[in-house]
Amino acid sequence: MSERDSGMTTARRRTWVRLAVAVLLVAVLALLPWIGSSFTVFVATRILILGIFAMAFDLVFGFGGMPSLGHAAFYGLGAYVVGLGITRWGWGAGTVLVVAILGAAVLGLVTGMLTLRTRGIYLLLLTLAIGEAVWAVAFQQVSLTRGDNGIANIGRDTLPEVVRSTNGFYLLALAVFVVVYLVLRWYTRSSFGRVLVGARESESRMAAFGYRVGAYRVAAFTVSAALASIAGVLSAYLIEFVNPDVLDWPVSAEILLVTILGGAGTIVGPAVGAGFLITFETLVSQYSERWMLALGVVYIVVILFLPEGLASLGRRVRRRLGRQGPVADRDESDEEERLERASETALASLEAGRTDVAPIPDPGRDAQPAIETRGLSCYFGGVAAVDRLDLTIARGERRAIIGPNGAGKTTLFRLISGELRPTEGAVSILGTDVTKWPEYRRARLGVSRTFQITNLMRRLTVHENVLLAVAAGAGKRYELRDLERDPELRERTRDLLASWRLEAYSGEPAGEIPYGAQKLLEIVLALATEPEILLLDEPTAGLAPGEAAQVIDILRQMPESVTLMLIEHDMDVAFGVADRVTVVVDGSELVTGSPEEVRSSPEVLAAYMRQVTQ
Amino acid sequence: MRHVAIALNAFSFGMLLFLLASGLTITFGLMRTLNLAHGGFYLVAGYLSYDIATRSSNFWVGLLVGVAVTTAVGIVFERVLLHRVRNDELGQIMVTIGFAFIIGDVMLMRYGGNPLLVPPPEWLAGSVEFAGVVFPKFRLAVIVVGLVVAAAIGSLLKWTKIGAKVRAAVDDNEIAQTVGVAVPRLFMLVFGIGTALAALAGVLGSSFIGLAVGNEFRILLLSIVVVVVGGLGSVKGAFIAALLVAFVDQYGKLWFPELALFTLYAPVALFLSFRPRGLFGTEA
Repeated sequence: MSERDSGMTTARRRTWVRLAVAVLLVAVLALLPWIGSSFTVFVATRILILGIFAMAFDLVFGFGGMPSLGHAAFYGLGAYVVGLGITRWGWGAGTVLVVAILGAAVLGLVTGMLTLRTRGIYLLLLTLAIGEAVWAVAFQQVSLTRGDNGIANIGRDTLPEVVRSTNGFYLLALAVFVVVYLVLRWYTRSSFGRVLVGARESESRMAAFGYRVGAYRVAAFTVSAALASIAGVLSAYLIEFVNPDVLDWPVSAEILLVTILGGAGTIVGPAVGAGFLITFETLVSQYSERWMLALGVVYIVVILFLPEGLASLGRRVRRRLGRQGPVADRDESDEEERLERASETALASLEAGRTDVAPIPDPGRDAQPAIETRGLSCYFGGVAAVDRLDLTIARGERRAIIGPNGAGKTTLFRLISGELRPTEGAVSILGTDVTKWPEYRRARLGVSRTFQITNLMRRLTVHENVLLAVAAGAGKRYELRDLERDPELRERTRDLLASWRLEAYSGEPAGEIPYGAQKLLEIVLALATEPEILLLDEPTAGLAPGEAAQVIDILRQMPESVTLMLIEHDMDVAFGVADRVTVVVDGSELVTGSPEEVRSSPEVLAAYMRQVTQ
Repeated sequence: MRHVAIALNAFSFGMLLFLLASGLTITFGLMRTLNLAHGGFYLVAGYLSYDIATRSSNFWVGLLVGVAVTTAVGIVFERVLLHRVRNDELGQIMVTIGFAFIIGDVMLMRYGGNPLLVPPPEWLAGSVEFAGVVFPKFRLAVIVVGLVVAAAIGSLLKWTKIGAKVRAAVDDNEIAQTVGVAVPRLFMLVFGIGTALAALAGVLGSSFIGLAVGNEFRILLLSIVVVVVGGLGSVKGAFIAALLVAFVDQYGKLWFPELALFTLYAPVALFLSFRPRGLFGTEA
């Protein structure tokens, strides 16, 4: 049996063990009504409901990295649909559920779209305002909602008889909990969830792959809102009362608290956090009326002592016990040897692999230049970073862009890739005017790039980094099934990692591997989408001389169909790889010519000397 | 004439919001801390000044002690808890929410849940009448205090050495530190000033809109709106936005009482989705 096969069976066995544990856990929880008092069952139901809410919230917060402080709106909407639907409009439970889910999904969609331009604290404040706007409707539309008095006596008559009792309702909540968990498990493994997490780590990288990041953010908000409203529906049925407090920001803050407490970015962690908080609340309330004071202390203690959540506590204990993961220390000579082998095999695979994927020649398209800029200008507050630049780069050309610091080289790249919009002028790629195109569309045309400062999804594994690039390149951007289970994507990812000799790091977070390997991964990611045009921003900067030489080797051997454009400060690299060199000074083209012409140009020398003497 | 009275009312409420919002915005501008305990300080100062003013039957002693003690509480909070979560915006928000909950519950425990109205000093009680418009003297005084504070903060930032340091640190915290601005000490000073402003607003506000646990969050939310619309960190923006929000609030209550808060928050949400940095906010 080969090593890989035995690895597979261990993994499969582990999955089965996990499944068995989960089933057992649910079975034990389902037995609670026969063991606990009705008060215990009531508290457990509250935990399940808050747990559902927290799991739904974490899709946006932990997975999406968007700190919403308005999620009470979605939860409270569900509760109010129950209150109004039953007491005012005589709806049945089915109608209530459908209206709540659809209503919250629409509100989530709108919220997601409104927040597209915001990040971090600005997103938090915007969602707070949205949440308070919804709260204000419930609070002030007194004729409809009875305002602050709320809607009482909701009753469970509309529910099927078996789930009306405390115990029956508990089992219903447990079933919903399991369903929501499964939905989230599926969602986070689909490309919707994986791209969402990728964008949390690096939006610019995901856009460069060709993902329309905003769509994934909006989708996450919509799904999260719909699931949160289910929790709201359950809570209104449980306590048979609803008032504007369920929509107010303290509820949003509390869901944030339990999510952090349980561990953001995991599916079930937030529900564990909910369990802790409600258990603590129940205990405190038995002895004291000062729950708000205790809650305030919990906020402070969690942030100061458990900012990574309870799960990190386990990790810390394990570390103290000396049971570290498989991450072994590597010494320097190993690293060098690894790199050497890497460049060899990468070259071999490039040569071998490319022949069978060679594009069908299209004479019309090939006649068009790969990149053409006309009068391209970009101003930053009156300063021209790129100034009326006309460049034509033929297909298959290797063009180096050199120039002193601040000449506008990286800005030029960003204008071509679409990260920036020009102030004036036009960009064409492969004969198509893409000036008004966003970055993700240009990427789908075949543009790929590396970043000057390594831009990786640092907390995702090396394998996941490459998988996201490969999936984008394969056009599998909106896959509903688990990307890891797609044999084609898995194979391409594994092959790429193997040929670049990065497979040893496959399971490690990209941000924790050595710098040289990160730099290589940066190039692998750009290549993994199988681009026609590759923009390389200082690919060798910060590398040891040996490593740099290997990168040059790889670039030299790139398939001829690929157009290469690279920015370099190292002249040896620029002249060694490029067949033509453009010197950019103060945002304008100074000279374009063969490496020899540029090397001997007195103007170029003068431009560089000026910088030295200044 | 009715509109003059409403406008004056809005103006004075705007100045109260500005007092609270100015402290919030300078602490954010300097420390990147959105201090949600700001409302808590407002509350503490209100109750303290009420307590001491009724005991000593002197409004001014109440005001002085209320502001001084609250400022001390704020500085201790910053030194002991808040500075531990520097550079962690979400952590700061959570810690300050927690502290605000603690303050609220302690005040509830000490003073009970009934709303209180702090009596203003005698010469500010009652109303003035001018050209047919009747207006409470105390609210006029709030307008004056608001304008004075606005002018004071403006010139402090513009003309003094401390102001220059604050502006430098707001602009680029790291560079300011490397050129020798003692940022931690500056943080403490600015947080103290911010807390004192919240406390002043608390004392004035409790004679204005009454004092009750829970009110501090409603007015805090309004002043957060002010700060955000004005642009986080901008005192000028806060001044303009405070007036804007107060007028929208007052006229909303007049024209559509069943939607007054919605007509405040919904446009703010729309505005922020297109201009996340507010009117005068700088790039983060």
